[in-house]
Amino acid sequence: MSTPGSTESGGRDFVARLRALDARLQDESLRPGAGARIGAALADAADPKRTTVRWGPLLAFAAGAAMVIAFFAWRMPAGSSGEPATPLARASVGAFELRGDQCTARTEGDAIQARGDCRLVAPHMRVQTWEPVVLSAEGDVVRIHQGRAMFDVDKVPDSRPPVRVEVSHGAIEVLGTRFEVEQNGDGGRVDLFEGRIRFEHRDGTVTNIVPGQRFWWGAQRHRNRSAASVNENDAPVASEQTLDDEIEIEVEQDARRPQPPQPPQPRGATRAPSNSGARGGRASGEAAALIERVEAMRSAGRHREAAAVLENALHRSWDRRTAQVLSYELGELLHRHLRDSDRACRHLARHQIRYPHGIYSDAVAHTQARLSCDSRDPLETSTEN
Amino acid sequence: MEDPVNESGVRAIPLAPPLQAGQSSGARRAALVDALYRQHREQVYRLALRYGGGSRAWAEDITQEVFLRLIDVLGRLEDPGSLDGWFYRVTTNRCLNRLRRERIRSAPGVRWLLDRRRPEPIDPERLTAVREELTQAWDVLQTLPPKERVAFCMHYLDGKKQIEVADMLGHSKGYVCKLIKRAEQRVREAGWEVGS
Repeated sequence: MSTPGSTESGGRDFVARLRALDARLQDESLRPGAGARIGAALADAADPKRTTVRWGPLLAFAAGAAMVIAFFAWRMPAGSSGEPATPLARASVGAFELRGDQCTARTEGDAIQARGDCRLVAPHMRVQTWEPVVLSAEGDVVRIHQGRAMFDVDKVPDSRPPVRVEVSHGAIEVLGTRFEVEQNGDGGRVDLFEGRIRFEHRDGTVTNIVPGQRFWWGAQRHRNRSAASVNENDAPVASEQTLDDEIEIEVEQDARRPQPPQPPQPRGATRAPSNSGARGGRASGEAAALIERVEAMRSAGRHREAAAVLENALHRSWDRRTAQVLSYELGELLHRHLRDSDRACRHLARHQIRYPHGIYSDAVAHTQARLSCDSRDPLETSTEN
Repeated sequence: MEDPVNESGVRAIPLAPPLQAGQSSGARRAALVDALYRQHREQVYRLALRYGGGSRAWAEDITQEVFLRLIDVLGRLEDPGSLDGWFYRVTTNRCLNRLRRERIRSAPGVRWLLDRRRPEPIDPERLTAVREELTQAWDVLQTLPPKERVAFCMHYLDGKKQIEVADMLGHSKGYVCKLIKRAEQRVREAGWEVGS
């Protein structure tokens, strides 16, 4: 009589015996004591607040650590780049306060390098950063040395001077608006979402920028132009519209291309935005008109109406970039003004699906994290997709 | 709101109660982890028991590691209600990593440096296997190198295809095929036959 696990040839079947052994292991269970011990460890790890804290030693350690940090901060010369980044709940940059639990900062001379999710708060202004950015502030003037930041400025009364954001090739004067600035080593750009700003060139001339426009300065403009020319060759052109009236200014000290001397123009003389072509101008007019209409509604506090207009507009056919701008604007309306987090999360999820690597994907992801969209019911989200 | 229904038509039962007023997100997270622990701990423990040569303490350590890992990734899991595959993959990989570390530590030179004695061999009889032939098969399995042992068990005991084993262990299908063939060769050299 053959035994379990023996083969027809009478040999011993290794796999059959292992299966028999494994089947016996399936009868095993966690020992009650071990199960409870692991369960308790998991509960502590999942909800750290359950951990009991010995406050005495902890406070003593914290006080000692604070004294050490204070000592080194006092001894360290101001602006030392070797200063380690420290997490902060609140820090000062000029007249501004830098906040954020996920924000780390270190000083670089008069500037501060902020990393992570940071908010720069002033009485009339909020600046949001989510990537490494180096900036400084003096009075109402903020200077971006490197990096990207989103500005939200309250409407400036006529009696007060406008807020200024200085960049490498001039300054952005802010008259109450929301916009995003990116400054690299030799150039940068600003995207205006709502309101009104003007770019004051180093030579004193001024360029007005309207909502929906992107403005480049410095060498960034040349890189953008090269990239755009490549994209135009690849992209289908049939029904494409473009929102981005990319206003271009000459590079002040561009060693790669000799520049003719520019006659000095007085402050107040404005340059018209130089539309790159008739197609762009026609399409941008339609989109800009829509954004201005939405802005007017927003200024009047008619946020629901503005959201409805944008939602209807998104059903129309736009080029990819314009559609992204409108979709982003709708998301901002939903969560910033209407405070409808559920609807905002659903809309932002759709935005990310449609434009996974879009121009606002970082900002949208940041907003989703701030609204804790991940913790909301994904099924509920998908039903509207 | 109605409970969601999955593709097979089975109504999914919420693992954790919805967030109550005053209940923190941490408490809800702890409740969800507790529910998942109760649901999957035996699956994880038994799988670890296999690769740990029947050592309960070894399997308990792995179980705790796997669920601590679950806490780290809980927010990124798409469907916390269907995690059998995730637990299988993570447990297997945790076991493999631990077996490899132990193999390095059990090398004579390392043991001499760390001043450690050879670990006591696990006695499977202490667990369940009392028949002599079963214990012999068990002993042969323990002699296989960690990767070969894990790939062999996944393929022959769990019925995984080579491509699935390769995907879970992060190797190519060709390498997994080679691991299984080597394991079969060692088993045959120990005087056993390897059936299909």
